[in-house]
Amino acid sequence: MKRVYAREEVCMACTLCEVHCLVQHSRSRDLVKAFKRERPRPLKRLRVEERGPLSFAFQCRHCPEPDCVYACVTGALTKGEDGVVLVQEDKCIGCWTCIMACPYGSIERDLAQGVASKCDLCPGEEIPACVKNCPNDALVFAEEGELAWLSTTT
Amino acid sequence: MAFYDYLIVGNSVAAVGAVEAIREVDRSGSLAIVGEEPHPAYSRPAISYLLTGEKTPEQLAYRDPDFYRRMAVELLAPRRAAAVDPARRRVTLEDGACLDYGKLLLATGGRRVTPPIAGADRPGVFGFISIADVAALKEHIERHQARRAVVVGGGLIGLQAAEALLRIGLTVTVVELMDRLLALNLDRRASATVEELFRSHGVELFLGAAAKEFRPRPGEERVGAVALAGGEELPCDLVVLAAGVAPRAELAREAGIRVVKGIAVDQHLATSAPDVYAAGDVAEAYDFLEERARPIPIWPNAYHEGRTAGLNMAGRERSYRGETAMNALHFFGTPAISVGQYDPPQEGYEVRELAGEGFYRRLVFKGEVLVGLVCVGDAVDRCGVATGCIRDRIPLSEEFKEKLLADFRFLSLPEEWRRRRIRGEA
Amino acid sequence: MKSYVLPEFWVDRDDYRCIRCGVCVNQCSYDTHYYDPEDDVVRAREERCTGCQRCAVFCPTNALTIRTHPYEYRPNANWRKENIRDLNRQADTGGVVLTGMGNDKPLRIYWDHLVLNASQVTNPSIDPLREPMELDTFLGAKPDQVDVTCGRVQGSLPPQIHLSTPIMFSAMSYGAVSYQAQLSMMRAAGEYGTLANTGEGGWRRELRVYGASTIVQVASGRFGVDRSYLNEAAMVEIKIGQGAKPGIGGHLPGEKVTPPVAETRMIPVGTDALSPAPQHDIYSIEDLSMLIYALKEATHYEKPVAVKISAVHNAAAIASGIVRAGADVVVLDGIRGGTGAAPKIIRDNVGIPIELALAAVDQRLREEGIRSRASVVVAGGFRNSGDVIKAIALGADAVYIGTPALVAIGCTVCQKCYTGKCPWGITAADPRLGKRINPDIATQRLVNLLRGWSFEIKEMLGGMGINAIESLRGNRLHLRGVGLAEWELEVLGVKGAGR
Repeated sequence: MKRVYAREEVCMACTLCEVHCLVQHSRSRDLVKAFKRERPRPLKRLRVEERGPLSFAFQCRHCPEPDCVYACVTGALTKGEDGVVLVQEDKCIGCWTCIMACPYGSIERDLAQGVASKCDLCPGEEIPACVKNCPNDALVFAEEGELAWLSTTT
Repeated sequence: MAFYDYLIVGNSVAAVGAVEAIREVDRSGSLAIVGEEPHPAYSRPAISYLLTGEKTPEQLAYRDPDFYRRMAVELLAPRRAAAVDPARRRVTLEDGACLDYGKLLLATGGRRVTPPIAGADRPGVFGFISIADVAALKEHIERHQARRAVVVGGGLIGLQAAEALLRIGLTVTVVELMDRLLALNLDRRASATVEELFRSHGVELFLGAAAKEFRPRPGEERVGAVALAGGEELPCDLVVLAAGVAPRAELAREAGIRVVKGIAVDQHLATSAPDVYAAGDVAEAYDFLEERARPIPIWPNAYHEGRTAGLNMAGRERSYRGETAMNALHFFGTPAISVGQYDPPQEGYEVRELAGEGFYRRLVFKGEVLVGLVCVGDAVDRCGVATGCIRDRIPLSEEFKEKLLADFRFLSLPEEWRRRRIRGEA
Repeated sequence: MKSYVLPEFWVDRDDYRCIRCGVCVNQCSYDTHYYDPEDDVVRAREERCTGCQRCAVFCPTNALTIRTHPYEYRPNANWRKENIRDLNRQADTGGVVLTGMGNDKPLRIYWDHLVLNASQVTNPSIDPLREPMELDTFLGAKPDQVDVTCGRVQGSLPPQIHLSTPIMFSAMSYGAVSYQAQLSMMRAAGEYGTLANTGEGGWRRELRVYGASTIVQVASGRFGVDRSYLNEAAMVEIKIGQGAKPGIGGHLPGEKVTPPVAETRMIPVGTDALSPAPQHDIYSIEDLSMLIYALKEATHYEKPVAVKISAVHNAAAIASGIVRAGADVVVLDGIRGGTGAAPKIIRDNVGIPIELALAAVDQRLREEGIRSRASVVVAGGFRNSGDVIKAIALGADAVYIGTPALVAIGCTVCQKCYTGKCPWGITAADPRLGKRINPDIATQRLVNLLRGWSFEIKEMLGGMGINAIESLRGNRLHLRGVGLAEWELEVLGVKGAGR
């Protein structure tokens, strides 16, 4: 399945991926309203890590054998036929077993709702919002097999 | 008489893991589950939400309502297995039915341990591991207008019960044999945090205290007080007895299958009997940290075991990757997580801690490798990154040990591992 | 000491639109923007702003307008803001006022006073979409005659470089521009069939795969020059001078000589990299000739050797000497030529416009009958394809473009290259900033630039009824002057419009 991959050699930690991820997961889908009006404030589903010259954005790998789904005690986390790992918020009890299990650290606590929050690969969108809005092509939406070219830049 | 290619005894998480795995490989083989409870598989760790009324039993379902049909599983419930005959590949149910199988999975789980306390069978003394337990407890509370509860056992289940009882308005006292709460789940410092949480919410704690007797109310059969070994008597309207669980391995033992504490299994989760597998709390699966097999009665491990067993049953050879002890707890909104050997068993381990307001993190290293962790409060965020370090035995230099302690993120991992993680090569 | 310098720019933030996302904060390498968590507001330290517009381009809600600061001194035609400002900067530091990019003074831009011809009625124009149109250009000495027997050229020609368009990327050294910027130019040059120049700062090993589209420079510091440096490139250029700073050398301070820079320049880490003002072994045309032939020897007479000079008063005579010294290509860099760092007073006051220098050099070489012995390449201030085609008509074989290439990859000509903190990652020394150029994207943008300009040149050629750039070269009849004095028309060798 297609996933979002980071190219750290061209990521400049602008965090526009985070901004647009948040907006994509807001009710209004409007930059200003999502940030300034909506309460609780919508959450971004990926994180940018930065230290010195090194930076990259990262979100759920939608693992073929997802530890979070296997660990989930309520069945709130599921891996669909399309391979996307999703949280069913009405089933999640906020026990954070998934946070303990995910080796990618890709699940965050939505403290306002008390449920797990994670990348859903933007259902309904051809390309996830983070990839579409990355100004430097530092995020790519690709099949695992298409990854070879990623390392050719430098 | 019926024949099933796959027969599963037990209808909880290990069974579901096995079903999902079997159906990944074999869409057509016949598959049945024998379950003693009348419900579809449900989220056992969330039963306290039944008590508080936040969830109905239906909302506790572990899978969607269509699950058994979708997976072409015949759910034989509520029925109970009475005997297994590995030689004839047959399971006999208590109602006399005989089920023949191609492959059998024993996923019978654990049962509540009843310590030698006088009056433990008295009305008003409840377990807290099933929907039925909670239903009975709830009914008791309503019928008797119960006001005061004593929870015997300051472990995970006991404290979940204690918090739920408190939230529905009861006065709660907890009696724990060890000198601290959650002695099997957290280190001493984290336990102290949890103790403080319970105390601040008005729960009285008796630590290092043994319940000696559940005494009746005057003139009644039902419980009216808990007498402690130290001489105190705690008046109460009900008792929740949560002194631990033990594997329910009788079926296997009586069938001549090798049982230690739990059912002994190999790396394919196969038991000593041909075509009989075991998974979940009843089995003794491999602990990759302890480097030995032992029962670890926790939900995620049960799923992994069930899944591995299912794959092997369906003919896709798969070795169990090994799990270890891990717990995600939360009390009064404060989360706490522990993984692995957070309390070093002997000398030769290195402990690093970081603590702040509402934040506690402890990492335990053996040489260059992380072997255990405890996180409380906001320190739990992304802690799976550290769990991954434990699982993958990622060698961490001094520099990365400090980075990891400060922040669970990929920049806290050595470069090669960071790259592997980003590419999704777990 | 309290500085009297006022901010040059004004940061206008629409508070309704500002979502406090922090993108402006993280994109400004001068720390202009900062977030105040107490008041939950993003503020600006305007004195740091260079007006590069990085924040405005990246602000997701277009909340930012960066404009010239509206402060006013008493109006004075002589003492303008810039004079007072430079003087204050100097009084603050006692140093030389530095700047980057090319001369920004309103010197006459002759390209804007030259107009092109087009065919009407008496000769047909050509549609480049329907008919072949050649921009192929060959750099190198052309023989006086060619012996063709049985359809084959007899003997060997001097080395020639084929360009698919008469536009090359000018010398920008590693250290002055980031690795990513250099990589992108070399890749784009290779993809489009033209050349990019390494500048004088050496040539990174990783970039040598682009050798067939690379010109290596031999300057007064001789950084990174060895046998393989010379032989792995397509052409070698001796740099005598640069349009932005004729007559002076360069100085890369030790702190910028990081391990990769040191390795590339072949000097110790942390030492100052000094490019002397003159080449210390060249005090005459004869000395220059020795270096030209030394380089030809070293490259087995397989590569053209170019000599680049600043366009100065007697450029024509010097160019004549360069050709006679054996150079295959003469490069002229005009007063509007760019730089990564130069004293502002030099950049703005030394040298002559490239249009006049080109006309004079072409004219002189023709008069002396040696024009064919070398190609002429011009640089310094080309802004569009119109400037390029006019240069060809004035006699150039090809042009170098620097600033347009940088603008294509983000540069907004803020002139702060010398700080090493280019927020666009172009002239940045900090690897954090260099990453802002994705070489894949930048290469594409540069190729687009070359493609766009080339197509426009073909359109203009077609309009003139010409189907090969070669036919326009030095054909000044296709140019007319507008608004020029008689002496200017004479130097340019063109008639006034209407004549």
